[in-house]
Amino acid sequence: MSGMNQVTDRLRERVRELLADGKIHTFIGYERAWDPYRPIPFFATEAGEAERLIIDELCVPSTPKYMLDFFGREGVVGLLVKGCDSLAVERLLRDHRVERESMYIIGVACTGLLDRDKVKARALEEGWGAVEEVRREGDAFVLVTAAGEKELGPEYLMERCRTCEVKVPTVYDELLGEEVAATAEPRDFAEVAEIEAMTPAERRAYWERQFSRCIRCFACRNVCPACNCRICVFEERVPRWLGRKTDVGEQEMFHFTRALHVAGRCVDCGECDRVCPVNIPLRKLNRKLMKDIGELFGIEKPFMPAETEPLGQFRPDDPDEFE
Amino acid sequence: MIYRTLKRESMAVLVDRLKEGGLVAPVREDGVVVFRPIQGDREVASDYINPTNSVKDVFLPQTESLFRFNTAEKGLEIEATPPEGPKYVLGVRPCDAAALELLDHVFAEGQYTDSYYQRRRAEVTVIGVACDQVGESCFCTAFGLSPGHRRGADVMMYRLDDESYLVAFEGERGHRLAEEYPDLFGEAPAEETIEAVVTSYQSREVPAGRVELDGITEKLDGMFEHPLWAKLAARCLKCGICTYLCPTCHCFCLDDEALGYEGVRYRCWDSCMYPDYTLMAGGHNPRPEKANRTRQRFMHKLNYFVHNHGEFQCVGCGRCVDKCPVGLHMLAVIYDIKGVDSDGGQ
Amino acid sequence: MSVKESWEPKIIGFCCNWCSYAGADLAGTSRMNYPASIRVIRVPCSGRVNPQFIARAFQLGADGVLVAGCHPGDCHYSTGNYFTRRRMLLLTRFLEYLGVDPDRFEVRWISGSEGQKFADTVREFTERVRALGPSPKKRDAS
Repeated sequence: MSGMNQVTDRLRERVRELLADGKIHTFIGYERAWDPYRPIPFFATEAGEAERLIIDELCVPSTPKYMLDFFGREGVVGLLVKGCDSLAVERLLRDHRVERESMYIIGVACTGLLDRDKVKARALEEGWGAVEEVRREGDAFVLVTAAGEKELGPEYLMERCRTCEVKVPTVYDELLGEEVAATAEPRDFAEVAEIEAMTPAERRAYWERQFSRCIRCFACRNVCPACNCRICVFEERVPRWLGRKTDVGEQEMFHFTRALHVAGRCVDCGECDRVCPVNIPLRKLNRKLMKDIGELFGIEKPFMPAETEPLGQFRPDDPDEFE
Repeated sequence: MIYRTLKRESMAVLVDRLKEGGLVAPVREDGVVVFRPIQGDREVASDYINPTNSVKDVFLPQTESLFRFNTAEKGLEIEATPPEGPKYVLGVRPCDAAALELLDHVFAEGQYTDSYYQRRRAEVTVIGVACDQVGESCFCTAFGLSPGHRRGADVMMYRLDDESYLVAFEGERGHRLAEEYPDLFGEAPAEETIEAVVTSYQSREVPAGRVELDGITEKLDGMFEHPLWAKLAARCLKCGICTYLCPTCHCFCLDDEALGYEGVRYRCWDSCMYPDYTLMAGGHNPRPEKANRTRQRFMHKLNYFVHNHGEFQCVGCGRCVDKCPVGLHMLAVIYDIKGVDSDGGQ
Repeated sequence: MSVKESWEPKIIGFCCNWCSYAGADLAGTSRMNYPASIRVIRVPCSGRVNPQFIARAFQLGADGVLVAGCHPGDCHYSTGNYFTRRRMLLLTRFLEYLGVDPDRFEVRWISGSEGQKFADTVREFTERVRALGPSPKKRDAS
């Protein structure tokens, strides 16, 4: 397996061309920033800026949702897209929030991203200094740091990447690098089963503890590609669905509502969970609904965007446990 | 200013006593450290750089009830709801404590003061703990603070040796605490020892704090229309992480919530990063673009606050550096501002 | 929060206009007895029932919530209750996952002629909720 950084030069070359030819006005990729272990989204608007683009297994943030910021603007935006990002693109396309013609998508195959928090903690503890390159060597990751080359095993993979079989983007205009096999651990929803196994009182206490930390920053909603309404339910004043008071009841109402609004449309990208500043395990909410949808309605891949979403359709012979 | 010592083993006793009056302190929970009321089986955390939320939560709660109203019987009845809360907050780092004095500029000084905030400031004792570890994203020294700075703290604890702390008590609230529990606090060590300990904390190296802020306010005076803001704002997620975790951010909204004949008017946090923060009745929004809002946030902290109150509105706690999902934080912005020509060139 | 001696279960029932509400009406005109624990909220179709209604009902003090609609296949709007069925299947599991006792949430298909079924449902549901006691999920209304 080779790492994504192999295509860096080709990526920069292509973006330089696209910007210079005026085919796109902006390219959204990644650059290494103040914290070299956490590359950030980078918006190149001139050919000369292509040099700043990087792509490797630390490039985690999902970028397709930025297309909503370009809504209504003329011209084409270039996007660098990994597998999970491509599902986000499909979600936005199917929800009619972005036009396919307004994007030029450069896809890159990805064998799994690094858990940045884990890597950062190790780097700080062992004094690695800055990182300037990330490679893949077989199952392992090799980081070129100020303290020399450091090897990290597959246990440093992001949790969500273990079970991801979308190694190659499902939508792109051109693909950089080689295709890779779609192998992944089975999506067994173990973390959901763990909560299902608790007693009702334990579950109530668990969720109350999680939600009581919520500060209603809306980062989870803002990063989610399925949360793409022009006016979000939580922004509507009439009717007022959610008060601004931050007691546990309101926090729960927020998470309950958001989980149900994205039910059947969530692409399991895990960004909500990653951006939460207070470690609320949001994936455990969305994946519970995903698991049930898959089981109840016989959908093999409930995270894959489809022609019609599960809660927007029905079958006369759907399961019925009500009398 | 009085000094005493506190044995490590007496810390638990102190915590128990403070709990009686209501104590908020850092607690480790599900992989984060957050300021929480110490109740039930919660334990005070010790090994942390800074809790994720800030001490602002105690003095300017995210939701603060102002008054209740009732229209059932005699027309409109209004009943003020006085502020409630803990009497002590423990484990406050010097940056958070200093932030309180910045909030004081807004809520406790000048012609208009906030009685809810002032009441808490008068009644809550801030017990600080100087920093043994300095985080990678800490930059307090850029703002004249340090890992041992006492500004804003009624009490500051320094590690004296493996078995005890050196405790500094300042002001009315600080002295009151020293007098309340004379059995817990031992005699102060020699003056040279005190000075050595305090100096070692106050001169501790803070790598990220080496950023030079001289002239930045003046430079920003001419940067209102600069293209930098749009460039920075492009990656902003428009969430409230930076504003809500920041110990000096204080924007709020007033709202009513009623059911039937009864209701409450409350103040709650709001974020200038939200698109509808400046949305007015009638539909006009003076800050419709992300660039407008990003500019507002950083101008406020590095320029407007300086003009209004004489100092920067940042204490270098590093929370925005750690938690912004897209790296749009104070250090990144400061370096970007320094790196551009103020007339719009790159 | 202490329990009053005279606590009676408070149940919110969302009933669709064409079937279950008519069934409730029939129970009334036929002088069938059922507990006064239920507060009926009429909706045009069970498909109109937003999961947020149910969550809010529990939060504001409901001890039990009932959603009643037409039998699948008999919806006045042809397909409304098919969507209800999918949504409620998901919701029963999700509420349970969040710690709500599943016995406090009931979904029933009650036709316009099933007055007896409506009365029986309310009676059985009320007794079940009574045995569980007041709902712990309460928030300050203000």
